Amino acid sequence: MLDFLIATLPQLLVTGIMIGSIYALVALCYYVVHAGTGVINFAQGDFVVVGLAFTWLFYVDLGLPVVLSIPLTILATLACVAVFERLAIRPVSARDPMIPLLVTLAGGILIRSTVQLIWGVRPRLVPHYSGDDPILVLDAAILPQALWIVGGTVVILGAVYLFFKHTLFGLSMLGAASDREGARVIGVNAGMIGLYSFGLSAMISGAAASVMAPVTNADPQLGLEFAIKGFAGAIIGGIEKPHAVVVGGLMIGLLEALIGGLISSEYRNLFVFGVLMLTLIVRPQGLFGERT
Amino acid sequence: MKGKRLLGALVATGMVLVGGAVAQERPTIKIGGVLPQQGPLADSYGIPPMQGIQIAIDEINAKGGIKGRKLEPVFRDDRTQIQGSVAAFQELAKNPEVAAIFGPALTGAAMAVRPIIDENTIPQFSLNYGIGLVKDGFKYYYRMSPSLDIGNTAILAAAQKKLGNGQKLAILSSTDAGGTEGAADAVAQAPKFGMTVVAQEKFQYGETDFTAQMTRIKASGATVLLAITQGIATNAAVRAARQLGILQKLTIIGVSGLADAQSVELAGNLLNGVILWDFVCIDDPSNPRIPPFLEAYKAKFKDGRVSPAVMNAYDAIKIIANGLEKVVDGDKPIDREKLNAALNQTKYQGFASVYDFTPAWHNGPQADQVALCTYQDGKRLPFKP
Repeated sequence: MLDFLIATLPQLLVTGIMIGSIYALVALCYYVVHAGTGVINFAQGDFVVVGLAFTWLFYVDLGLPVVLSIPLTILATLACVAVFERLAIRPVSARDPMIPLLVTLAGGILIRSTVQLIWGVRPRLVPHYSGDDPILVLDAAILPQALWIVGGTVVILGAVYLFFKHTLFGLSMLGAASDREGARVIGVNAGMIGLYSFGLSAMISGAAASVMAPVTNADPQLGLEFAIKGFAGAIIGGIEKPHAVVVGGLMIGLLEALIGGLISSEYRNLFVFGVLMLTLIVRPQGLFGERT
Repeated sequence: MKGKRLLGALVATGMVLVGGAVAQERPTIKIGGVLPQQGPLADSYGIPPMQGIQIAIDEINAKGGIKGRKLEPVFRDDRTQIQGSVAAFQELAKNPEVAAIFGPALTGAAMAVRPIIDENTIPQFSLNYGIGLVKDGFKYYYRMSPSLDIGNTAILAAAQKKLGNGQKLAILSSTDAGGTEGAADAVAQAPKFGMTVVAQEKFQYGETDFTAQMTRIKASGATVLLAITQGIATNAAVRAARQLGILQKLTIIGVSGLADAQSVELAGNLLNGVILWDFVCIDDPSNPRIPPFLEAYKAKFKDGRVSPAVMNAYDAIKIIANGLEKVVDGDKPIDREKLNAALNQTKYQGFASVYDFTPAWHNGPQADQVALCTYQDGKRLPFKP
């Protein structure tokens, strides 16, 4: 058993961190939208799918260099999500929170179907940005793309931190998150906060899609998987705090890799959603959230 | 008055002409297709068979149909979901104009629709691998692909011939009914071919990272990997094997999906050397039927990626058409029981295999008829140990 652990553990940790970084970014998107609007955005996974589609378009189909395709993907995803927010979310934002939630659920299906109609259902190959010859560290084979994913995650987290700490919109969003009614009373524009929340989530989704596409392929059917795992990460960490959702996402990735590698892949979802259920029952505010 | 008579005569003439035209329009014979156009199996086992059905029906109709009656495909998208398959089968099976149904893609779905098929006595054809589908109660069900047990026999024997006895076998399969059955059967059959099973790994449709499974397979010391995969899963498996440095050390054997069009598009030459059982080795230079078919396919669908499932579904429709030739009775609805009786006496040379359906055998080609192929540099060629 010890030999098996020594042989497999480094690889599983590397894989877990890579996949967990993707979930962490999706979980962060949940936080951003929830903080700004109070809505759980069930279209989140499909924002990532939009990003994957644009990554393929810019990087593969149009053959643009990575330094261009990534910002263009972010901007294109932002544009699509902004239209979605204005047309679908904004009109119902003042209603019972259940209504916007249902709109995001339906919107996700709409986005997924639209992407599939335009683009087809088949996954497209996106070449790795720095080749796919693995780098060996402590007997663990690390794909260069994993460094893009983890590095990209660190950069995105840094940018989001700066946004929240040093921009007026970021501070407004945090204020609205802590007291939405109060923020409204003192004149914070809820409509703009909603737009910026969805916009920021779109930009993170576009960036995440850009770095993950070579590993996951540009698959228009991945939305639900990302949505569920990212949401689980956000809930397990605690959706009220940005660092908590990120840690929650990483935990999901690590849990998946470790269960899959040490026990069996068959039990991965069982454990992930078992932990989610347990968290909701025992500590509904999340592992790092504060009881209100 | 004269004008009115003239008008009456014109109307009467028109009615006769229209009536004549209507009389010449004979009722079509509908062939159902319940195949995923969305979801994880769409690209491997949904869209290609739909294309094969369309090609066969167009070809038959161009030659005048079946005793003057045209065939008409009626497609339903089950989105690779069992509930979608059940709803579509309920609709199509209850329509007396539908003579037979092709689909679904999921073995679990094929099991779920069995009561609908039996209740409506409608012949059903599919590509499903699942072993249980032909164990019993398969009166109206016909399998066009080899079942996983027959495929396993063929492919494990091929691996034994190539590598000799004493191989360590790892199995990678989906968690669905077909994958689970296929893996269990391979475990049971492995000793017969001098193999020891050292790892059994599972995946769920849609998974894109197989590093965990391959890490376990690497640690097991496996020399042969039986991959019951298709498209996305095949790609994820071979990429993880390459990442972990075991791709060149493993002999990868598997099912048709191991080198279907989607697998090839995603994994490319990482698939070089894999051995698989298939419906047909699509680049077999000795098979004269394949090149004209591929030309017709490319002209019709403007797509260079051809999956063998296209040809398998084409064969299925030709078998159904042969059965219909025996039972079409004027413009009457097709008697499904009579059609089924005709299908039970089918002997048909497909692209690669002879189908010999009898009341006791609805299980696709016999083991000695299974096409064994290998993939090399973009081509799926006959495997020679």
